[in-house]
Amino acid sequence: MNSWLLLWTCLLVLGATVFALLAVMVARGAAKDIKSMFQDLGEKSGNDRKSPNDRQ
Amino acid sequence: MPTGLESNFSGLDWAIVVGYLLGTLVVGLYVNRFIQDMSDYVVAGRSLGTWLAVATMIGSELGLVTVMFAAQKGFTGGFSAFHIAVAAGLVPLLVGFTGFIVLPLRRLGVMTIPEYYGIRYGKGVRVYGGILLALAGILNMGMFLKAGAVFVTALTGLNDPVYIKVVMSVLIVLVLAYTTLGGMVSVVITDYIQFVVLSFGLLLTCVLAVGHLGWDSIVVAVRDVHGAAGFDPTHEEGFGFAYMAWMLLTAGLISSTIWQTAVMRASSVRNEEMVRSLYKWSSVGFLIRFMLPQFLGICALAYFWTHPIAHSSFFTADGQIASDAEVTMSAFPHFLGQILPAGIIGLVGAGMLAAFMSTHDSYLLCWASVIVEDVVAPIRNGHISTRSRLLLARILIILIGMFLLVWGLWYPLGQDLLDYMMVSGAIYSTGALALLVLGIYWKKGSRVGAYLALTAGGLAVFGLAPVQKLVGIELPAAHVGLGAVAAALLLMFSGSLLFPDKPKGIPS
Repeated sequence: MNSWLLLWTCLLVLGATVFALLAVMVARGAAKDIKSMFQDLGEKSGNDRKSPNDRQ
Repeated sequence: MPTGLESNFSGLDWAIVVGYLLGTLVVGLYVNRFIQDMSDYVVAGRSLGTWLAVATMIGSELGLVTVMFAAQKGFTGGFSAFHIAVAAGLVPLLVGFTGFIVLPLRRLGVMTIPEYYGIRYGKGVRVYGGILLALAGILNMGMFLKAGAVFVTALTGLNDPVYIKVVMSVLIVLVLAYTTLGGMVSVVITDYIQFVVLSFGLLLTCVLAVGHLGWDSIVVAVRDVHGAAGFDPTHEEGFGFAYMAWMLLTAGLISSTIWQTAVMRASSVRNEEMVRSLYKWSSVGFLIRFMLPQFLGICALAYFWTHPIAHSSFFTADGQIASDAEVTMSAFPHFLGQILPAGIIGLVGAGMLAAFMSTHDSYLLCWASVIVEDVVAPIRNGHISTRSRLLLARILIILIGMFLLVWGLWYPLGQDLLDYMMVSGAIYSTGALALLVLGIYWKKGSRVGAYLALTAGGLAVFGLAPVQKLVGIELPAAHVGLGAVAAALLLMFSGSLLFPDKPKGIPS
C-alpha cells in the first residue's frame, strides 16, 4: 500500500508541476495563435467579398 | 442533498459569474462575422496553430462534466482512481509518437469518422455509422445538464431540489444561444479562455485544499474509508484488472483517437507534424484533466469524513460511501463551497461554467455536423447548399438541446457518471474501433464486416444501470464494455473474411 501511495504522490506532484509550466507556455503561445487565426480568417473573408463569382 | 452546509458563495461571486458569461456571449457575436462555410463552422477553417490547438483540445476536454465525473471517481475510489489519469495521459503520448489512427485520418482530410467509413466502406456504412455515432454521442451528453446543475446548486448553496431543474433550463438556453452563434471559431476562443481560467483555478484549488486539510489527514481518510483498495487499483475489492483494461481502452485510446471531438481537433491543425505535437503536448493535459479533479474528490472525501454535520449525508452508518450517484457527484462542489473564499469561488465557478459551455457547444456542434455531413448530405448525394447545411446544423443543435433537457430531468443515473459516459460512448466507439483499426491497418476489412461490427457495438447498452435493471442482469460495466469490443472485433474480422468486398473493376 505504501509503495502505491508513494507512486501516486510522486505522479501528482510531478504532473501538477509540469502542467503548471505547460499552462503558462500554452496560454502565451495560444494568444499569439488567436491573433494569427483572426488575420487569416479576416483575409479570407476579404478575398471572398472581392470575388463573389469564384464561389459556387 | 446535504443539509446544514452554508456555501461561501456571495453576491460578489454571482457578479463575477454573470459578467464572465456575458463576456463570452459578446465574443460569440463578434466572431460570427468570420464564418463563411461549413469548414469554418466545424474545424475553424483548418487554421489553428499548435499552441491554440493544444489549448482548445485541453480546454474542450477539461470541461465541467469531466471535472465532475473525475472528482466523483476520486471520492468513490480514492487514490487508486489515478490509474484512469495514467491511462488518459499515456495513450495520447504514444499516439503522438506513432500517429496511430489519427495520422492516416488526417492524411485523408476527413472531418468526421463516418466520412472515413464512406471512403473505406461506402456510403451505406457512412450513413449507418453516422446515425449510430450521433445517437451514442447525444446519449453520452445526456447527463451533462444534470452534472452542470448539481455543480451550480451545490457550489452556490441552492439546496432546494427544484433549483436543479431551474438551473438546467437556464444552462441549456445559454449554451444554445452561444453555440448557434459562432461555431468552431467561437468554440476555440472560449476554449482558450476556459483553459487559462480553469487550469490555474484547479491548481490553486488543490493547493488551498491541501493547506486546509493537511496531507496526512487526506491519506488517513482514504485508508479509513477504502482500505488498501483506495491505493491499489488492482485490489479485488476496488477497481481490478478488467476495469483498468476498460479505462486504458476508453479513457486512453478511444477518448484521444476515436472520439469525434478529438478527431475534429486533429483535423483543425495545419499539418501532420502539428498533429503529432498536439498529441504529445496534450498528453499532460489529458493526465491532469483526470488527476487534479480526482484529487479534489479525494479531498472532499477527507473533508466530509470528519465533518460533524455533513458526514451522514455522504456516508452510511457503517462508514460506507452513500450509494446514490447524485449525492457522491455533489460532494466535490459542496467541498469547493466550503473551502474557497468569496471572490475566488466566483472565479472558479465562472471558469467551470465556461468550461461547461465550451464542452457543451463543442459536442452539440460535433453531433449536429455529423448528422448533416454524414447522414443527410450522403442521402441527398451531396445536393445540399452551404447555407442549408449551416441552417440545418443550427436547427439540430436546438433539437438536441431540448432532448438533453428532457433526458437530464428524467433519466435515473444509478451508477458513477464516468461509467455512464464510457458505456454510452461505447455504443458507438467499440464498433468504430474495429472499423478504424481493421480498416486502416488490414486490407481485407469489408463492408459486411463493418455493418456487423457497428451493430455489435450496440451491446454496450447493457452496461447502463437502468437497462440492467430492466432486463434483470447485474454485470460490471467494464465487463460488458470489454465484451462489446471483443464482439465487434471478432465480427469485423470474421465478417470480412466470409463476405469480402467485390474487387473493383478496372476503369475503361
